[in-house]
Amino acid sequence: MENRRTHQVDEFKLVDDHGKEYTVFEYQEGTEKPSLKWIKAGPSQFSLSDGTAVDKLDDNTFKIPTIDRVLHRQL
Amino acid sequence: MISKPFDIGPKLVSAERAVSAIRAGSRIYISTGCAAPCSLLAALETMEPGPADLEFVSFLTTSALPQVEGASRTHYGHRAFFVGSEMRGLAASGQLDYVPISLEEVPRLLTSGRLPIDVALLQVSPPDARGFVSLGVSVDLAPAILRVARTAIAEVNPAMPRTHGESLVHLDRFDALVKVDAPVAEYVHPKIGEIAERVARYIASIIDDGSTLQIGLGRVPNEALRYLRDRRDLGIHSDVITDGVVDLIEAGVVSGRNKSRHRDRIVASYCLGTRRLYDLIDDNPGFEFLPIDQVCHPQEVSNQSRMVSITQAFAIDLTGQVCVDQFEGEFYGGVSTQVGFMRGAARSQDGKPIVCLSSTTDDGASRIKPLLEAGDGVGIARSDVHYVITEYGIAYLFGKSIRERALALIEVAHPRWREELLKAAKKLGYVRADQYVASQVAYSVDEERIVTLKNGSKVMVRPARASDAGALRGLFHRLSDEDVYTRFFRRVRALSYQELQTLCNVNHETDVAFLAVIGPRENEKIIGSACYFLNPTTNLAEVAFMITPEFQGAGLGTALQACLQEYAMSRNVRGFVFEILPRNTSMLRLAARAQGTVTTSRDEEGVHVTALFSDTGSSRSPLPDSQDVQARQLAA
Repeated sequence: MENRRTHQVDEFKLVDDHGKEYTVFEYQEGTEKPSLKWIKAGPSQFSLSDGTAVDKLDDNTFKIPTIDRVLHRQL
Repeated sequence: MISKPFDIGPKLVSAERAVSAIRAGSRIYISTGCAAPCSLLAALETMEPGPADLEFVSFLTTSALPQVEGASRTHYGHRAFFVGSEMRGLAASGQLDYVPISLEEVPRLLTSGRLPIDVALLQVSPPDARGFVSLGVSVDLAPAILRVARTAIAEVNPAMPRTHGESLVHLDRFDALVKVDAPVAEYVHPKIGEIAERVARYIASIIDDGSTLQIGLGRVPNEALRYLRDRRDLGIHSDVITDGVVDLIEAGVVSGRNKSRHRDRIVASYCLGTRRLYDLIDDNPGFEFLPIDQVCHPQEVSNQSRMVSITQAFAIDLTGQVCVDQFEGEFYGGVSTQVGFMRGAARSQDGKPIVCLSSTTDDGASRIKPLLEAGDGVGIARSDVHYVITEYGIAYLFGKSIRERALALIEVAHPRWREELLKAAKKLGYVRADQYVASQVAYSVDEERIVTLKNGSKVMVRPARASDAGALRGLFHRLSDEDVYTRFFRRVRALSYQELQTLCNVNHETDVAFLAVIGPRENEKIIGSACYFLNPTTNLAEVAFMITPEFQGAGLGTALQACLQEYAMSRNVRGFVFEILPRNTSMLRLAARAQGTVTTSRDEEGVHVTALFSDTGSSRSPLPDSQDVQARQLAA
């Protein structure tokens, strides 16, 4: 039950400076407690739905490095 | 004003003389149970030679047939609507014809001419001044019989109580009368064992104040009456009443105040009991004895609100088909009034049709079977079954799928049969291949609590069952995204069946889950979930909660935590561990209120709270003043 694995733990919307919306998925390596609580055991990784990697700059700012595009959380 | 006793002289004859006119080939009705006309029957049995080819018709006999070395002996054939212990032995000699029929249909069978009756043999009370005798303890089929029988003969017994209702018959209707001065036969249910007592307690636990009861003939339903002495304003609308009803009346429990019909009165069609009961019903207008088709017709039954009907079964299959009149090839019991009462109670407002049975036979075989076998008769269709109660708990089947039924019934089966039943259910395709049943113990009614929350609503906190998975899914989907995230530390769109099972299909030893529910048992809504999972190495248990948004802030988490903690302490768990996201302030507050020594640490992943229980045994943890935990043990 407590084997370490990578799991999608979140999904949220970001927008670029042109107002284009992106759905970003957060993945974590971690373990699942018997209570089904997820305990992360490493840094998060982010990607778009097509697998394109996204870097986290801070809690509200992300970047798609391959096209050098900055994304922001929708407030 | 008529005051002189009515003269029965002209029709008075001896028993021998009365039956001497019965012709060969006659079909003879004998009145039910304790009203059996024993002297007339004895006269027929001792006639040498007796009339050839007589056929007796009866609903139920308890003391009608001559006994030789403990077995019934008769020269004649019997057609019976119920195979009691007296009739059972006649099957082997070919003298018994059992008729499976709902008893309320019998009057129509008679009046339609499909079952002609030549002679009626009854036992009645002496006449009043106007010449009316009372059918006494057994009205049931007698009014219909007296409409169709060519000849009617009655024993007139001063010991027969005069009952109210539709039990009066004028002497004109009788062709001959026989004076009898003997105690009316009595019937006492044999003692039941500890297992049946547990079933009876479960039955009693779901009978609410103001309910109207049908008890039936079974020993277990009658035992259940013993556990109702703390209820209020019960009513009785039953085919049969027994001495158990007297106890309830004496305890002040039966008022009939809330009955929708026949308010303040006990309605029955016949009684089986002792002189104590007979004295109570004698000339007592509080009892109405009515014909069986009036008492037991589903429409009439459904007119009572909160109608509770209790039927004892021999066996049930995993889809809910109930065996009541033929078990392992042998006919025993009968359809009786069960179908009518089950359907009527099902349609009654807040009604409860209950099937009860012990989980195993005397030799240990499971009465809950994957399939009924050849020789097991289905008396109640699966579509009519609502509550099923064994000594391992209560299953509710109505409106449930085959998978849900099978799982619910496996949970109330004897633990030693659960694995085998589960295996069979998988093979039959009734349940998923990955289904399991973690709990090997009885569902504990003692752990049920009624809790009054800050908002005034009463909720039940109870142990979770495997069959709660569907309702638990409902709770999950009512949670906000934020609630889900703080509960699971990740976004979860849906819980898989296996994940739901993790949260409710627990062994109640190391893995424990309680649910908070509202609504009637047959339509519960889960509003909260609390579970703990014990780490055997540390003897600390990790706890987790889900509370539906409309009950957040009402103290439900505190109440659930109190139950969990009490349960854990009674099992010598050392303490609780809470994993909490820092932003989950309500959970942080709840953890801080845990009993014992609470320590908190924080790291990147969240807040870790450990509550080490103080060494106070299994006492209930304190609740805030705003909480009113009644802790009513429903089955006590």
